[in-house]
Amino acid sequence: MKIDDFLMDKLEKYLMDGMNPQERDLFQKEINNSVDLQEFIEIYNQIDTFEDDTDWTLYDGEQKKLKQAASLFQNKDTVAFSQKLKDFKQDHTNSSPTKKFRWQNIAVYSSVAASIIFLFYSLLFQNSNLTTIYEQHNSWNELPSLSIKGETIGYQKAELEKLFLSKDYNATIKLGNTILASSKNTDPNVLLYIGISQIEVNKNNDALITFTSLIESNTIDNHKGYWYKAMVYLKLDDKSNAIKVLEKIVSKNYFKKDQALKILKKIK
Amino acid sequence: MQNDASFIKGFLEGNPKILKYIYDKPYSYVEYYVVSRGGSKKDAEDIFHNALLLIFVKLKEGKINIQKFDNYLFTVCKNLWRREKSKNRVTNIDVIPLVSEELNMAAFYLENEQWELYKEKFKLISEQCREILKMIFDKKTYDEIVLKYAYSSKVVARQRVFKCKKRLIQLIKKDERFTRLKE
Repeated sequence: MKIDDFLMDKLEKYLMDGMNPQERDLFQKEINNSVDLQEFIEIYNQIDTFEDDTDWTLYDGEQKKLKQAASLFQNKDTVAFSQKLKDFKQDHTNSSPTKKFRWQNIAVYSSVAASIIFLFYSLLFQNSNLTTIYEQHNSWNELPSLSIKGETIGYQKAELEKLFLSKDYNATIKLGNTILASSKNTDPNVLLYIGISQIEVNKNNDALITFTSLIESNTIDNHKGYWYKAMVYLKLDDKSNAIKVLEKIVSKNYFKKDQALKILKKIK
Repeated sequence: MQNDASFIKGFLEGNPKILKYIYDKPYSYVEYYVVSRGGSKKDAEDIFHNALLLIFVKLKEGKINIQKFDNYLFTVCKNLWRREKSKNRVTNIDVIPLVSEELNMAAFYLENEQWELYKEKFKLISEQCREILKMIFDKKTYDEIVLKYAYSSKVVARQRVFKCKKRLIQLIKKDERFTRLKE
């Protein structure tokens, strides 16, 4: 059965929960009798998982097809290649002392750093000096992990996150700009990584430009730029601009509104 | 270097110089990706090994034209890891229990073919459709879509999402690889 416009309208209603129970039951019977409708619904539901970093659609098709594909991995060339990889890996591990960065340690270091910052924050919150307030809020713990989608950009973003976590801020800025230059759409998270790195290497004016770009970008997270812009002004001890930006965050209910309000009460 | 025909040839032959490059550079990113998402170093090693095998098989079959080896390898590793996580989470009685590593790899081979078909067709839908669907994938709400595109209501936004998915499905189903995968 081909899916004509009439059936497509029904499908839309069915998938958008726009049918009453009676209509739904009737259409369900139609679905049960149509491979095309079943196939459409199956792909429709699968589409979301295609881009989901935490999900994957497992194969549930024909055993025959599976066995055919398995033969490719049972082929003697493939088996020999697998052994070659194992042998190389074994030799490689034995011959070179591990120089690789221990990523597991990042979590430990981050927790320790977060605890120290929290203690610092608790002890010093009474102090209203702008740079001190900046120090209390610059842990960057809320920075999102860069989601990895697409081939080229995904790979570079993993590298960007790694450079940032290893505090190689100059390299983060350089790679971040390369990613932006090669990408058609602006990724707000890449701008955040660049801007924060610019703060860390004291390129504060560049950071302001980056966060302004974020604010002006047509992205859903553009409002986050205001918070980080406020951070730069606090760091620069620029009270009037810091207040302006923080007031905007509070009035517009933007990212970190509650923290912005607390800081305003402190510095006004 | 990684785009050269000589690099691919060296990879297929298991050239130690090429393998050293692969185990030094791309592996470190894969290890980071897996470990930072709750996996172990051993998981990362297994994923990396299996990804290299898949690429070997696909190259031997002449099924892929790799533009950048590192990027392609990383994507395959990422998908293998997503698969591992899904396998651990989902208990689906309809899914065929796989008894050998070869069958496991075969299933991934077919799943990955389907994923690559989807990725290819996703690039062909309109830019606005891609953006709207990306918002759905990023778990943005329909309210956010209404706001961004100034739609009159959530119903309109839902209709738009449906139409974008419909277009994508039509493109996928039209491709002969889809029929081949389904046979």
